[in-house]
Amino acid sequence: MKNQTVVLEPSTNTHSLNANSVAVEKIDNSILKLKVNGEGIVTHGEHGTLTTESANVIKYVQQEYNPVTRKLRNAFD
Amino acid sequence: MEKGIINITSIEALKGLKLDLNTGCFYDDVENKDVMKLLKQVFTNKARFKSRFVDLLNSIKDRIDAFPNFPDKFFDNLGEDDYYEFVRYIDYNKMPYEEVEAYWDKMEKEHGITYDIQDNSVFECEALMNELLDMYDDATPFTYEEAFKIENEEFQAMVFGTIDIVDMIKELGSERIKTAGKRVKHKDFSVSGEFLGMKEYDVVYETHKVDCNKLGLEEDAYALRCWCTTTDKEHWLWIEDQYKDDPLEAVASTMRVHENIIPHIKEIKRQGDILLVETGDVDIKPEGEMVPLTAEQYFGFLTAQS
Repeated sequence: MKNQTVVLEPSTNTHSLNANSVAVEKIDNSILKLKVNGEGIVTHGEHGTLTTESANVIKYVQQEYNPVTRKLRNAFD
Repeated sequence: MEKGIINITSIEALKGLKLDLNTGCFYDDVENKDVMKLLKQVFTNKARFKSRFVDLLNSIKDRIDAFPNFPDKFFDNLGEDDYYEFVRYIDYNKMPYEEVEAYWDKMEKEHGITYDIQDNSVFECEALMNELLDMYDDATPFTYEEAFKIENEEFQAMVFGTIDIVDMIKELGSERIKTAGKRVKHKDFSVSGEFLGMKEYDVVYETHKVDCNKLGLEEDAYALRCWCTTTDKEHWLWIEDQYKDDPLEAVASTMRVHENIIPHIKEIKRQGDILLVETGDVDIKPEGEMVPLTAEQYFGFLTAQS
């Protein structure tokens, strides 16, 4: 385990990133700008692990259309 | 004396639900009777609702661990060396009162995060729990139409978490419009994050027309059917009308990013519903308009998904 873990998306199964160090800038409620020192190990209770390889990473949430309100909203995993 | 906020973390379907005992409400902008509709959906009989929810919340007043967000803030703000002394409490979320004080003292000094440790008695909520029990019989779970109309996104996500979308689409009725597949070559990582090599496989997407009369809509709506590469589980995403004839453009359109970062994207990795956009050494602040990716951009940048 590396030194710092940040929660990328708190849901029933949280997406978390673990790295030597991570600086987090919140762009809005679901978008984060991350400065990652070294590789970032991204884990989740259901989906497989991924590894980020850039110093600069921006986290977004997939968008889904709401057919009733006709607006976009964050997709539900 | 200030009353506490109960953060429900131990019931999977209700994770994130918070009861503010100062206001007696779960949300500022969602009425308790609507939360009760969700609770009825989760606890389908009254005895189970009482034993698994009401009794649990009533028991909190006797517990020392009733302070919010402990594990989250813990991981967000401490390094491994810092938290070693607290690590034995992660699973149990139980600490003697003096250590709770020591923990928050450390958080305040080193990270500027403060929290007033509250007396256990302020978590008293029996009257409110009795009110909820009384409301149980008359509450009806959300209809699909009602669920789509919920304005609080966090609460709506929780409600949709209790609705099986595959069942919902089946019940509404759908007709396939188009299928498209693509051979992709992606990075494969082990459970601990080591690169295992490149993996080649096919992805398939289908667009469907969904009969939305039951949602109170006169027009049809469109949805994309896809399958998770890790679990092989079927997923459905609602899409805008203009993408109904092109499943690859449809999936790309659900990935929206700030236009100013697109020229700097080195690769994109997708884990479930989150996208990790990597810009290499380019430190760029995302700003301005958010735009859907084209299929060419999305599949060109995507190097891993799970």
